[in-house]
Amino acid sequence: MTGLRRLLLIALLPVAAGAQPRTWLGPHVNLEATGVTAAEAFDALGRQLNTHFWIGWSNPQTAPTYDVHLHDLTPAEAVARLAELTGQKLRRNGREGWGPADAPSELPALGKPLPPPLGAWTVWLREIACHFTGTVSAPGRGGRQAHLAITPSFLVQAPSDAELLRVTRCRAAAAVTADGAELSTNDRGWMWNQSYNDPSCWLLAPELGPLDRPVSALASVGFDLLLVDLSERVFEFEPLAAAGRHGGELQTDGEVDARLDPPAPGAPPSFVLSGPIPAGAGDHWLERLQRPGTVDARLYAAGGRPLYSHLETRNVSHDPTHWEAHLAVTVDGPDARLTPARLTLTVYLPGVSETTLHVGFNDVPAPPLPLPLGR
Amino acid sequence: MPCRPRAAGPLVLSLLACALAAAADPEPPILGPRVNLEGQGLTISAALNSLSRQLNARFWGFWGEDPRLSQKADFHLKNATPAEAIAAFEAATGTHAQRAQRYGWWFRPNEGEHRGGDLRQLPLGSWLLRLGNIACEVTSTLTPGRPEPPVINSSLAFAAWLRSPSDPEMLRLADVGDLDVAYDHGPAAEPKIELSPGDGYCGLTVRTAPPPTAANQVDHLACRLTLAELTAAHFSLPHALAAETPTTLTQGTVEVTVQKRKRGNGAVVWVSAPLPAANDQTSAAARQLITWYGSHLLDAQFFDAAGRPLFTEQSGGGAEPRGAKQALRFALAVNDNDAVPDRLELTVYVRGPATRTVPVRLEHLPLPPRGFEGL
Repeated sequence: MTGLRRLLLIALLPVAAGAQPRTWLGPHVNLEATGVTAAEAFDALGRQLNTHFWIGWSNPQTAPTYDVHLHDLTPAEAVARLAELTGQKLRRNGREGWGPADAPSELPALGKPLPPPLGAWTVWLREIACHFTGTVSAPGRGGRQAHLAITPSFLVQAPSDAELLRVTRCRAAAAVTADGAELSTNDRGWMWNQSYNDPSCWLLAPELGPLDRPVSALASVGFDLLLVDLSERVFEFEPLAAAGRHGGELQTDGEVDARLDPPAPGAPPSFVLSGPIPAGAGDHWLERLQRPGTVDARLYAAGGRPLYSHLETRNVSHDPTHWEAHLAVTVDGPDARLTPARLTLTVYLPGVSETTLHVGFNDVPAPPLPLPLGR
Repeated sequence: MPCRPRAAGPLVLSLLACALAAAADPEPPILGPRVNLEGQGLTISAALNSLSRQLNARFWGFWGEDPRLSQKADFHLKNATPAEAIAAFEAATGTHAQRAQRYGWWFRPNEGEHRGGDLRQLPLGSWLLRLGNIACEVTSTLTPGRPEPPVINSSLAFAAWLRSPSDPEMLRLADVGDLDVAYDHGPAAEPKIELSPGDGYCGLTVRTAPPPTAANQVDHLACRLTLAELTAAHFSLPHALAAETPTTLTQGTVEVTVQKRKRGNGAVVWVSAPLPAANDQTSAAARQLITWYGSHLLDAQFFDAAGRPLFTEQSGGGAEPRGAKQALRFALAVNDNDAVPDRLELTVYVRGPATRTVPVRLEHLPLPPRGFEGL
């Protein structure tokens, strides 16, 4: 009996509403297996998450085996738990998957959960850097100048890639020093959309200042997170071959239409998503709709085994009232020769209006700065 | 080499940057394009058009109905180097030029925050060393929630640029070595140099450990430039885009092959020439400069049937196998409205084995603020 046969996979939680209280959108990992190798366990996890683990596995005949018990975990939690169990050091490489890392990934020490409905989110205060620059240049270029600022580094960690689509931007980073000085930022110093090479995280590093002397502590430091609602729309096409018999298949939930094209010989399943542009939605809404990860397309083999699936966007267009996206999904990687029997499309439809959530930390130490500088 | 006279007094101390280039080897003839523009009461518009075409470079900073374009000035450029031509245009327009890679120059008003000016300039024959500023930097980084002490990094950085009299002249720069930095209280610790070679410019950033508290000024910053022998091989192809098949021309050890591009006004040029081996070099700077040289040794420009120079964009420079040889592949494109290219002029600059050295020495430089005292 191979390790794979011994795997007892509990598929993703049903996407239909009402199966269980959902605290986040996107995959909830459930994986129960006994006596499986690390390669088998990560393959099973990779199929649930539709992501690859690019790791040089050891010989399956001699590889140690593990019992895996993962229940209702976020993708990041599941990867961390399995990596710890199997002794792997992993690093996420964008949407491509996970690869080996030099050291185990380590979360910062100071974090706080966000209030419901973002209870599975964490905002971490990774670092606080204090930076002094003294410059001498030509008189017309500023002459002698000194600049001192504090740069907190925040990591906004969503429970899934889909959840991060709620964030539209960040603003109003500010701090108050222990002696009451108010520090703010300007746009140039406000890096608000750095991916951290992980599509479920944002890394923010606003430069706050200016200061005229080092400070020992910050009474408060934080920023505003601007969020939109996100609703999950799920469409299932099974069996895929049926779409051909009917010359294509259209499903709709009233706001999003999903039309599966008739299959063409040798071509991957292709489909069109479309819908009305909501009242009050501007260009920003259309930009949000086109963010990577808004559509999750998953193919399954007969019997329900998830296949590695690759989504390709072919064309996106809109007129003043409607949007339309043409996409295709192919079976990827080791499953490339398999024939899919079912297609599940999940659309994370953004809302129109933004809400503001202030995220802050109080009584944070500031790093000492040896000024005046010298030896 | 001119050397400012030594004089007493703190104000005059800043004038004591003596170019000790007297010991340098004699300077060979300057390679690269020469510019001719002579006339009294020429409009800036006419001068801009003539100079930019002769230099095959765009001049940015003058828009639409800019009243400066209709102002008049005298130009006396006869067989001038590009650096001399740009300096004359700066003087006529009250601007300072900033290089935008090989594509051209930005001319910014000499006022406000855009005002030009260097902390120090050091003529090196037809070359110029420009010291923009000296900065003292310190960053202290703390990880909240962890017991580790803050990580402190500090340095003193000199931001300088080396300007050659023409773009191809910069290809001579083969190494920058013998770096020596000292304060008035002794040598600086751990001096390092970083190069950023570019078209006509090479950025030089020198970093050392911060100065001792008691130091009052930089006693000297010195290094030695190694400039290689450089020769030019010229190729002229009349009706260059008339032939559908490749044209190969040879001159000494240099071979060029020109192939008309299938679409658009342009050509692909393969250059085979003896290149120094980067891995034979002992210094990292020399290896970096050889790599840069290999991708910049070609200068190409199209002319129309009337002999008017056309704006010709050049890209590429990567090595690829071509027959039994390695060749450098460049792409040329005419970007000049509806101009019809006819003749193609190619110049390949080849480094020879001989070198000469140019000593560089800046003395009595001010130290930047190392805190807020005295500001």
